[in-house]
Amino acid sequence: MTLDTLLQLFALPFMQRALLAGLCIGMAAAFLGVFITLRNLSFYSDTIAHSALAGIALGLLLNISPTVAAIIFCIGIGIATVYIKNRSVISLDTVVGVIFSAGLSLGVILMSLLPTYRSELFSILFGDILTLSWLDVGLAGAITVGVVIFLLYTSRRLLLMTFSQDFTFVRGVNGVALDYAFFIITALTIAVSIKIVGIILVTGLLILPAAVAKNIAHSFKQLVWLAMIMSVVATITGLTLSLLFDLPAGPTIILVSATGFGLSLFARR
Amino acid sequence: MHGDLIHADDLSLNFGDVTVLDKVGFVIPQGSFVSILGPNGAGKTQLLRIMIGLLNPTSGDITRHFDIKAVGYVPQRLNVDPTFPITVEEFLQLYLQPRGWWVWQKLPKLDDIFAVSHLLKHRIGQLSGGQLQRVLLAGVLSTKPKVLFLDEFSSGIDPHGQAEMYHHLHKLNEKHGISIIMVSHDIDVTAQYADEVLCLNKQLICTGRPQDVFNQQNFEKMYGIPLTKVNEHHHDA
Repeated sequence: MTLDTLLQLFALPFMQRALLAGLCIGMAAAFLGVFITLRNLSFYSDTIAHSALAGIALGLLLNISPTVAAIIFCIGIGIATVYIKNRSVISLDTVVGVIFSAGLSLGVILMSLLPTYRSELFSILFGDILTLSWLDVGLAGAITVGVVIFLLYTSRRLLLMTFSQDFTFVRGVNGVALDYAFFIITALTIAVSIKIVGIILVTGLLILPAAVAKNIAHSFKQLVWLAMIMSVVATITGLTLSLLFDLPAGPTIILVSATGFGLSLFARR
Repeated sequence: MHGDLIHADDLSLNFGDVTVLDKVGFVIPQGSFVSILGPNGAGKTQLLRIMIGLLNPTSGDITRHFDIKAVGYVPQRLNVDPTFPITVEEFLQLYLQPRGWWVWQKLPKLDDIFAVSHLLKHRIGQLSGGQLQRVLLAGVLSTKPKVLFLDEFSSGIDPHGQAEMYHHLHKLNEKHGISIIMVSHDIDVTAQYADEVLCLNKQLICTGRPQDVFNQQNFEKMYGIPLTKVNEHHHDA
């Protein structure tokens, strides 16, 4: 394939939609992923993603938009996680493990109740960035703007909370409200990202750019910028490689990030 | 002294079947320098956390006459991931101004009594335990607190650094009327700087001026061994 052919392919509407949505959600996920990584919440993001299966199945059963159903269900899971965490003596890791098992089991059972085989199951699991509509792109753009504004406004508080919940308390920050907001925003971003990379790989979209950046960055500012840059590079390179070698786009984007992670280990501070 | 800072009645704390604090009552006046003394597992840290409002007692009443925004708190230790990419300067910026947008304001000039200026560009995970405690105390004092809660804050700091810190804290208490409540194992420091002691071993063993309460009977009740042995243990440690 020549460069001209590649450029012509990128000029096609479905590729433009894929690139726009991928860049938008990728950057929002990378920014959010910085805090998820620093707070050791990778398992939580995986739990939200897998629980989304139940939301999607519910949407298909009730004949409502699977994306809308997944968003509502994921937000519910996010709220439940913080509620149980705050009212229980068991660790967050265990709370998340319980919700992960329950959410995924419910999803599989609800899927089994669907009357016929649903072809969209494969794209739910692995995403299908090339089939996005302009509405999907708009949703991705809106979520990105929302996430970036939220994080720009709360990043100092979130970072202080990452160090110590006690510090947020003595500095007069409402840590409980902040925690709810953060878990809900994360759930929302994951629910919307599923259409791009799927349930199985969405955690990679959140974690990998931040993990690459963490290996290289010296300061927090560098960490955020490097994570965003890594996400942009992975999206563009991943989409290009998927066109060149006829590979599934979502997994290729994730593999590019994973390769970046491998290389970053050599550049580790 | 201008009234009470903290008034506690019959504070008890239980974790399941384990009694951490048993009907502890005391009054701390404004402007005091208080040391909470006691053996390991006496409930000192938990009592300090209850005083701040970080923890609720299982039963009992506590009245606090201070604004939480006027509180400075240095914990016993801060578990920082050594790979956490944040500089000392960034940490101090966000501690001083946790609210507001992403914009990182310039750090005001620090009173470098604790020798942290040369550490500003270091990653916080690279600091030693003593350096981290210095940074925390410098950050906390930069917020101009009216009440300071310190939980064995000087652990890991060299003796010369400790002496400087206690001297500085004493000055803040004497000249600026800042109330200081600290958890300590150090009987000498307590005797030298504190004007009030809470002797704790789940129950309140004694309360009063160090010169009034430091006696054989109270030390035996608190540590279960005579005063001379306590001093030997303390100096060996």
